[in-house]
Amino acid sequence: MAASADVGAVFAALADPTRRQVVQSLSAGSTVTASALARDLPVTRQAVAKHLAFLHDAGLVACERRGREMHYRLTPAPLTEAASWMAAVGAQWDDRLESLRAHLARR
Amino acid sequence: MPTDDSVMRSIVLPVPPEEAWDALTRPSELAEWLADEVVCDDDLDEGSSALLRWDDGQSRVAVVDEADEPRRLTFRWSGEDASDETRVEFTLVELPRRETLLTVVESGWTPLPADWGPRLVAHTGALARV
Repeated sequence: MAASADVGAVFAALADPTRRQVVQSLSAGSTVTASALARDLPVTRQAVAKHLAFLHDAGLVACERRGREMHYRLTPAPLTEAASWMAAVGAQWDDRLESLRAHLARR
Repeated sequence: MPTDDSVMRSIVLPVPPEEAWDALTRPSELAEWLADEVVCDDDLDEGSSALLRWDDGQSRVAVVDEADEPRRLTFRWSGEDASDETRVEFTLVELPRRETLLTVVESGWTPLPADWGPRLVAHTGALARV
């Protein structure tokens, strides 16, 4: 299971609505440049670059230099890890609540 | 795709809220379902703290933020590494036939580094809207 700090970084990355839009744009599958993303989103190219750096730190985006521009693509593995982390935490509460219910039913 | 760092679960308990409340706040009762051992001077109340231990060696310290008997109990808890602190919120709703709908929400895995600076405000604002 992923460390909670890694999961936290993913949620922090996704807490911003613009970054969620960037992730959505990248999820189409192709690689894109910051300029191309900025054309689709209501923010400047500089702002897009900052969001991409944030997503890169969270492991959600990989980048590659082609000629003069950086190309970005989504690396969704941390999303899956975050989802399975949340599922595990949920399963833990399912067990605890069932123990509570059974304990109260015994009285 | 997860965009919200909270987990929510509910269960119907076969007792009224007043009895369910005891199971959430009495150390001996908590040791029946939440942890294997619960160390606390008294029943959980606002400001009190409890040490929870599990047989697998894990432990967490819980600090109660809110205790609105028999409706709402919230605490923050963390393991030895305080950076894994999360918030747990229990809500109790009275149902007909002496039953209680208990809902638990655990949240707060998003780390907030000390040098977060001005981003913090925007960040927590975005979380609150999710």
